[in-house]
Amino acid sequence: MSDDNKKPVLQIRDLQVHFPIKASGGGRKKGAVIRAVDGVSFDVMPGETLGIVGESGCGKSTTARAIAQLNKPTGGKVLFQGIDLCQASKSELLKARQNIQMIFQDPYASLDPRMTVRSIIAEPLIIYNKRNLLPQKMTSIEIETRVEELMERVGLNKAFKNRYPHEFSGGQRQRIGIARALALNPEVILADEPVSALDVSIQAQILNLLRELQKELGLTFLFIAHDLAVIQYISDKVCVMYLGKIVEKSESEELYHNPVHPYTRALLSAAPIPDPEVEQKRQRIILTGDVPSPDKKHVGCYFYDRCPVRMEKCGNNIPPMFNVGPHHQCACWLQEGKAEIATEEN
Amino acid sequence: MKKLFSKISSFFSDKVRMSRHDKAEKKGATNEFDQVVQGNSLTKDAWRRLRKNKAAVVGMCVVIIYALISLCAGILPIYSYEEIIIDHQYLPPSLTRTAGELMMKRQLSELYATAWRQGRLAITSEENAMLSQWIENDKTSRVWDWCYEEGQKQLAAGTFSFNASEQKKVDKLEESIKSDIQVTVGSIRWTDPETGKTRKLEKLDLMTLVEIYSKVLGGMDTAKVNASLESGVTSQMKTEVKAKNAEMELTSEELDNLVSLEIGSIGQEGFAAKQIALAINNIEAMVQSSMKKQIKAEIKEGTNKEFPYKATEKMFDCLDVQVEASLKNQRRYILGTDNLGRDLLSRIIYGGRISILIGIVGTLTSLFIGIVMGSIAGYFGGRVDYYIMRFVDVLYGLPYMLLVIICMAIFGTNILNLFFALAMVSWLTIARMVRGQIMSLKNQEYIEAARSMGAGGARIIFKHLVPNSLSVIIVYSTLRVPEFIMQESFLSFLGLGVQAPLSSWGSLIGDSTQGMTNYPWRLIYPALVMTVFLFSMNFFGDGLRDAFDPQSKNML
Repeated sequence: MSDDNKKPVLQIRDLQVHFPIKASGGGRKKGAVIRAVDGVSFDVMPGETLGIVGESGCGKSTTARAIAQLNKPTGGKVLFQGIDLCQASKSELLKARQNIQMIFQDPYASLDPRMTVRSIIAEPLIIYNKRNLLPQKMTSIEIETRVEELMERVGLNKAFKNRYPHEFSGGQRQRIGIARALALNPEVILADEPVSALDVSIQAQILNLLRELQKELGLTFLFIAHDLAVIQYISDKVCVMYLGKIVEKSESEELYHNPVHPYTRALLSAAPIPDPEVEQKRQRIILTGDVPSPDKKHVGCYFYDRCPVRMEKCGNNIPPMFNVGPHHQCACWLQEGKAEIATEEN
Repeated sequence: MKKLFSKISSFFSDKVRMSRHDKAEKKGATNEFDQVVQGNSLTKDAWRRLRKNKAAVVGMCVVIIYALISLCAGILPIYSYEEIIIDHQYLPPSLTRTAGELMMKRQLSELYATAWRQGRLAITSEENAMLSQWIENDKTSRVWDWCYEEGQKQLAAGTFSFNASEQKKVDKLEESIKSDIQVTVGSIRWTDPETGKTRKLEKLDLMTLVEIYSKVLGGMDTAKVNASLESGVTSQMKTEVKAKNAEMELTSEELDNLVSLEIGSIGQEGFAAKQIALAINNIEAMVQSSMKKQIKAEIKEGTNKEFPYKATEKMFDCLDVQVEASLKNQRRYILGTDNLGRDLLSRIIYGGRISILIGIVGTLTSLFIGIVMGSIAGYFGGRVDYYIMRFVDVLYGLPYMLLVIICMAIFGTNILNLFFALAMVSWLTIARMVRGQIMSLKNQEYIEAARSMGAGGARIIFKHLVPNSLSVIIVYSTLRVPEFIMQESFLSFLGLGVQAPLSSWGSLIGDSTQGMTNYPWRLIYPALVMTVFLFSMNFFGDGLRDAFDPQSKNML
């Protein structure tokens, strides 16, 4: 889907999100921070789906929230249509946010329980209408019809617009969340684990819905999940994150068939295969040790402590991204010599 | 023709259907079967659960009844709550007997008791001992009751009779019970003899008032009247100045100097205003007394007047006076009277009005301040939170009642100040509670969703955070109302609350503590009424808490 001639719609450059650690007294410990996201760079092409995958606590959600400016990044750039959102003024940010909407993880918590479906979906419209940021002013009747249209689009009966979120099932609620994200006609949708709180059968429905919407509306997705199968199904490109850093990025097919980074291999080998015979033969790469605490600064490879194939060099040098194939990059010193160091254009 | 008719009818039915459809569109969404689909909000859910809770419903009904009664106090058929009838002091509550009968009974039992003390009542020595025993044990009211019954028996049997002076007393009382009237003067309007226009006395200038006053006094010279008004005002001010400087012993010269200083300070206009007020007061008093005389004379002449009598009478040629006259001894005091002969029932009703008002207004103001402060502190956090909460902590540290008492002492005791003082110190708990609620809510995903949609702080606070903490706030405020009433009662009890002639439950109870043993009804009824209200308010609040708590869903 991606085309080399296209310009990326979203460019992330060396994004850092560090959270200060509260000392026991309530004040801040000087200098002590949790490095939730520690220098992440990637491009998102228009119309494509970029999946971000990784284990719990590796900074996937924080990346998405930093892009949406819900957590202010402590460093780096988030470029949307040439504007750096981290430095943008309030009005610029508002304008940009119109095109970057989020779908949240927990459909039970992401909808205000005191609002009807109608007012939930209409809220972004009302806010932007009030601030005169919509292409043209909408009347309340237009907003109403837009809400109905959105409900139909995400597969909800428009008769339910007066109902409250607690009267819906998880899948329906996630549809409401999707309708809300679509209300402003955004270009990019940041989907923060949109299916991980749902049953598997409903996951498929929601994923198909997202795919359809993408086809019809030409949306760009940044899709976060910890489920490898989901990512494989929906993504065009995949980034694998570990400890706040991207260790490998590639096109989806390529990554699943030819993982390069030892962490990616371990991760992929952990996914069960829905075929008993193959599953029995599956060889797992079992990592030793725990994920190190993200509060210290790394001087070497982030994966050094647990890597089964670590070398001396890895301990003291942070690996750059190596081009291991077309659209396939990996941050591992093993690739040194085999591949070139990837250069990033700004 | 038929075709045309069917066309027309189909057109109309279409139109009707269309309009019905429009209505449905506006009101709610309809599904494919044309049924309106209504949502079920959490509040609706809570209401349904509340209705299942019997105690809460009863409490709510009682509260509503109280509210209705105090709202309609003005049109209820009760006596004025501030009308003082000295003859009716301390009448006990009675459903059947009128004030006159009660007065007669009191007079008779007093006479019988005196007769017993003088030994004119023929009783046995055992009974005598019993009475002495009662007196020793401070049960005088029983002695009176017993004497009354015994005396009535003996009077009927002919073994006892009143002496002449006693008989005279009884006859006089009987006469006055029959004929005593209470005259209340409503608004007085003056008709201009030249233009024929009528105006209220309050809107007239001094000259006309002086003329009227002289006419009322029976054609006295206007200059003299003016002079008397002037001296009246001066003497009024003299007493005021004297009261102000009570601790200093002033010689009469100093006093005069002070008064003339005071007169100079209020200026000519101020002096004239005081004269006007005095003139109006005097005219009203004169009108009332002459009206009373007139009606009494009419009764003596044998004119049959229906009581209660209500009319607009023409007096002194130029005044239209609204008069209400009633035989005051025909009144029935269901809950008795107080030390000034005021009807306790209406005092309780009007007192409830003020008590409930204080409960509601106090709660609303403290809610308002508390929600704003608490939500700002909770939402913005950081330094804002720190300073607001430390301020709250400091206020918490000060003794609450003391603060109110100081407030009342400084700003004077009137109802507005009372509201102000109570609200000022009572928003603290609400602020803390709202802050806690909002801090726990603000990390919810839907708040983040709102932020990602570009909602501002005010919108998030008032559209998302406050509605979601509303259940806690509602419950707390219903439990807060009785607390305010209690506090007001306490203040009134101390004499810092509502001032006479206004009453509140607290002030009624406070006043009744004098003479509690002899006139227990003055204490019992207000206390009972207040207790019932507080109880039902608490039950109602408890019910609300259960109703808003989703975990109690299974229990009910």
